[in-house]
Amino acid sequence: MIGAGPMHGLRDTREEKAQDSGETLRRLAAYLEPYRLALVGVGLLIVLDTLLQLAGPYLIGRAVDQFIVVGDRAGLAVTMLMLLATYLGAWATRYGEFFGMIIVGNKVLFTLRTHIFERIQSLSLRFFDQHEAGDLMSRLTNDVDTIGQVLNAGLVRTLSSALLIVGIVIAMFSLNWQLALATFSILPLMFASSVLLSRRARRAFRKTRRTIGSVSADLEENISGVRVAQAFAREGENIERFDELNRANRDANVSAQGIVAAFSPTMDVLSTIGLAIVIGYGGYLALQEPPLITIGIIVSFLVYVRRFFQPIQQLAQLYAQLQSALAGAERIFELLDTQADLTDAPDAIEIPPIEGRVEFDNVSFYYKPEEPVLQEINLVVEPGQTVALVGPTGAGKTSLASLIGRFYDVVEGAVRIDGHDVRTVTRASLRSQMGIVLQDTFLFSGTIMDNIRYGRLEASDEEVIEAARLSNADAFINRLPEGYATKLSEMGRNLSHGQRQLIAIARAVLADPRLLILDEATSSVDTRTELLIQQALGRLLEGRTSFVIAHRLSTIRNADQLLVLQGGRIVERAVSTPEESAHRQLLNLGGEYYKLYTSQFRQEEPQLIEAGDDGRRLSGVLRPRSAGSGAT
Amino acid sequence: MAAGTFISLLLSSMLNLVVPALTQRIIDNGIEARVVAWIVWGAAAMVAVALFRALFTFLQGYWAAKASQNVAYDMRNALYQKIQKLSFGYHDRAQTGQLLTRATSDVDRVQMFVGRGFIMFVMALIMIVGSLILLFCLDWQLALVMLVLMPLTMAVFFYFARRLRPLFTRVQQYLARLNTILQENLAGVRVVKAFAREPYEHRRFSAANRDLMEQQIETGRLIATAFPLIFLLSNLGTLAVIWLGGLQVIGGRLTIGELIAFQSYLMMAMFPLFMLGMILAMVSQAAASAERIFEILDAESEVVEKPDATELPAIQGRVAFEHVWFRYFGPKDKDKPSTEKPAGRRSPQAAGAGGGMSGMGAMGGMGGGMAGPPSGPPRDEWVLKDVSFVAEPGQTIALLGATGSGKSTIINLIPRFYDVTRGRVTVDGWDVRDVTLDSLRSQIGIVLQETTLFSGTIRENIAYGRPDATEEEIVAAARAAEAHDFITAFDEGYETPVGERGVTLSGGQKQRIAIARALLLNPRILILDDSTSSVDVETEYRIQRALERLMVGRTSFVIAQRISTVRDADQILVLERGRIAAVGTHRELIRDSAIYAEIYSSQLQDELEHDQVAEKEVAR
Repeated sequence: MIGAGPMHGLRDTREEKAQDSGETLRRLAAYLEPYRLALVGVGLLIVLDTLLQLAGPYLIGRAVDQFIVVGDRAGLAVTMLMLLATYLGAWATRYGEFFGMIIVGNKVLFTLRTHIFERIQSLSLRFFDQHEAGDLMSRLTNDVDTIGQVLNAGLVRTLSSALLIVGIVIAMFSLNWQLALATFSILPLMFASSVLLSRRARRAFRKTRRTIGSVSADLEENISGVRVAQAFAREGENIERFDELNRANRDANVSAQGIVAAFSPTMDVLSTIGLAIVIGYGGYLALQEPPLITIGIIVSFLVYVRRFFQPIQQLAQLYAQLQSALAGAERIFELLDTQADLTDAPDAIEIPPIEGRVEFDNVSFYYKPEEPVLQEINLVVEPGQTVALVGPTGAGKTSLASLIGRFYDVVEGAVRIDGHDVRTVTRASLRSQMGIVLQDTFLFSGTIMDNIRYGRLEASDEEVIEAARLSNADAFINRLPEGYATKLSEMGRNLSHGQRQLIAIARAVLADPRLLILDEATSSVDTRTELLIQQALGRLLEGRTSFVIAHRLSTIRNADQLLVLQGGRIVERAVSTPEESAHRQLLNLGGEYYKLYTSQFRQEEPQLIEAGDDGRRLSGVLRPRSAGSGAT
Repeated sequence: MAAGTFISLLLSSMLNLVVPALTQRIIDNGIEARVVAWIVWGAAAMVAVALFRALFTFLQGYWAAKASQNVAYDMRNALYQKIQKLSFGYHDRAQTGQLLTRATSDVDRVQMFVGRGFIMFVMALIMIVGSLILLFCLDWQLALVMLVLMPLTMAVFFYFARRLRPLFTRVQQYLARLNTILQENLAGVRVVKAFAREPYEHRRFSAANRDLMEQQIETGRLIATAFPLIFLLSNLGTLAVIWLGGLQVIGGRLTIGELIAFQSYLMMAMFPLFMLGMILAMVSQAAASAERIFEILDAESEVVEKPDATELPAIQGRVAFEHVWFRYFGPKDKDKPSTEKPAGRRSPQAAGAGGGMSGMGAMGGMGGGMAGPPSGPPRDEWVLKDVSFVAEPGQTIALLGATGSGKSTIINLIPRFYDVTRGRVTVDGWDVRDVTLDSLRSQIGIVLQETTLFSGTIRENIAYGRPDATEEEIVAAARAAEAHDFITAFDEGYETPVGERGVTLSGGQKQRIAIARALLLNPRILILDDSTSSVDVETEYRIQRALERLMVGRTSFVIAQRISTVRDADQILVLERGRIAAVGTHRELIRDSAIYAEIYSSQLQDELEHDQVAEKEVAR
């Protein structure tokens, strides 16, 4: 994996790595901790419920022995009313148990989802470069869901089953301890086989969680990219590929369920062996002279043994859910444990209002030392200056700009804003004073108004409209029948590229940042929109420290500083003087910039001649867009 | 397999009944009669029976799991196929998170029911009938109690099942909303971070998360009411039998032994009622989810291949628009020259708003405008109005016009991503609605505005449209798109992984891969939409040359931002608000068309202004 440098990625395969289930359980239990009181309450209700359940048969027996046999109608009526009270009590306690667990369970799920989301939000861009959105989503929904199933129903049943088991064991030992010991001699076997099966089941369930993650990831990617798939008539291959992932998920589930299906019969066989022991050993004891045991005791034992194994069977049913939940929990905790590689320093301060002096002090940046992205960048930008970054694709322009907002951390050196190392200030205070217009204009679902307001949430409608006006977006928005209330579909697909860019610019205008980063925001629009965008950007750049990537040559010419990057280094640079623009200085140098410029110029040449026919004097730049894409 | 599951289920239940009988015999014939052989062999027989029973229980469990997993597998495949084939019109309105939730979580719910709930449900019904018969044979008067109880229990069951179902639907809707927020957040993570909007996103997520929790609690509360209630009802049955039966015993019409026996059979009859209580939630949940799944499966694509669609033969590349009108929403004209089979004809409005998306639509209403009705461009307004033109094979057609003038729409109609509302689009004289989509689209190369790469290697991405392409062809396409050099600069070359988990490519690099992808098809018709928008100057120049080479001999449609492309075009279509405002070559238009002249000169003028500004700068 590229760039799997200092940060942990989520592991791909985890089958081999047996994880400590105790640890996972403990962490899950920690989520239940805040609801200790409620859980104690539920526990008490379960005890009460069990007692009431036991009271039923007792009352029925009493009714038969003491009243029906002697023909006491009044006594029967009283007992029956007591039985009714018992049943109503059982109903109420059961309702309480269920409801209590549902509230606790869902609150725990809520917390889990919140934690996952917070963790995802705190991770740096590097994490997102490396992980599929669909897999992350699967952790937040599918994996959390497996835990929910156990919490909502499983826990109550487990507790009441366990309670029953304890009661029965006590009863058996008090009846005849030798026979009890003999019966329980199969317990080690039972324990061993369930541990064995658990281990295999967990491995199998881990695989199911992982394969459903892949299924989600493929779904997410191909739903988002469905247009391209259709354009290339590629549906057939995609369907085949999905079928493979889907099949892998099915097979993983079948083999996991196969182990689960083996669990219950195994316990069944073992419990029948228990019965056989009772009969065999009990029979042996009964046949002794004198008999060491009565037949009555054997019969009671048989009843108890069956009662004993019933809750164990119930636990076996929960077992699948529990294994699946543990495997899901592992994936969740794995994500929660991913270290945020970028965190605010504990003593980070709020950066005061930014003047706009930006300084790169011997900055190097890379994912892997052998593949440097930026090397020894030194740079000082005074407040209000516009810095133009040019250079071929992959030269490091985007990385350089990304370091200013601390989207990545420098490996060596420091980036300082107004003298503050960006690592010593809170990212929120830094970024809230920065405006960034990215290559890919991303719009959220919601109205146009909401999308512009994303730049400054507390802005009034009037301010939003003013920002749209300044960025020349007002006109096209007003032409829409619903105006600013127009809802955008996913990714704003119902707007053209140019319209989306205008909205992104309006967003930045509204944010009114002290520092501005423009990353190829000015490409790929039609001529008229291009003009509107240029105008809007002109207003946006004024008075702010700006870093501009891939802008028009005309903007390059207006830049205060011009940096040519190549292979992660600044190979040429110039600062405009009143006498000579940076652009001119570098052209005169005849180096890399000259090459870049002339390759552009050469391309324009035939046009120049032809356009010359129209009798207009032309500069070297005719096509704003192509000229503008003077860098990546 | 289903039969095997049920036979196994039956056998294991029958064997279940053998053990108590056997125990009885061992006690009577062995222990009491002091026959050692009976004890030994009896115990052995018990274990043997248990082994058989275990085998059948295992088979039943395993087969049930397999069957239910196959159901999930088939459903996911069906959903995926459907989603892949639904038209752009559907995807314009659908949200990824929504579709994803249905294909994962909802399928799981149905699978759970099929795996456990369904078998339990059938078992419960069989047991109820069986024990009812037994009870009637024993004492029909007491059995009447059951006759009151059973319908009551069933009524409670169905009442709650009906009330639970919409609640479960809402739970799934809230889950889908949460998924949508998360998906959008992940897709837009750069913007979120750029504007330091984490707290805002957190609030948005929290609100959806809380809604989901509250909905789940509300649903849970209903289950917590229902299950103990069914339990209580069955207990009341016991009470009634003991009381009434007791009175009968006192009256001398029944013996105590009979009452005890009746009571134990009653317990048997009650057990399936408990089971009904337990599967209640599963049934409603599965029903709610199945409905959501079928909504997608039943959704009608606005673009449907005709049953008798023919393969489009190798084309020359003559494209004609004949009086094409288009709007995103609204009924198509009845007098459309070519119509699909009448049964399949529903207006897209009904298919979209009424059918396929009703769940999402309803959700939009209650969920604070998530999916909602279609949005954006005036859906009910004509996007194209009476557009007619002919592109001869090999011609380059440049589309020019302001944002939103209909350029993209024209391009989307050629590969039939949408269907025209009125008029027709033909390729070599074939109405695009008469030919198969695959045969049409595989002869059209498209570079879309958004560069979407898929996870996989660079090679796989270039070979996306033709997975069978040879190494040479792939490299040739990459070279032509000026992508070969940067690709080979990676350590792993063409095997370098890209996409979400791969290397981060720059916009220009992605674009060149997208161009190579289109070139590899060697299409007769080429569609370029802002194709070289974000590459550096030198690459742009090289791509431009490559494209010029490529366009020779192909019918090319170019949404052009640059005048040079426009100038070289065989035809320029100037669009204004969905109409063709002017057609012609550059020389004709610059002379005749005021709009064209305006666009052309405004661009020049802008450049001049910039020059002047620059000069002033320099002068200062």
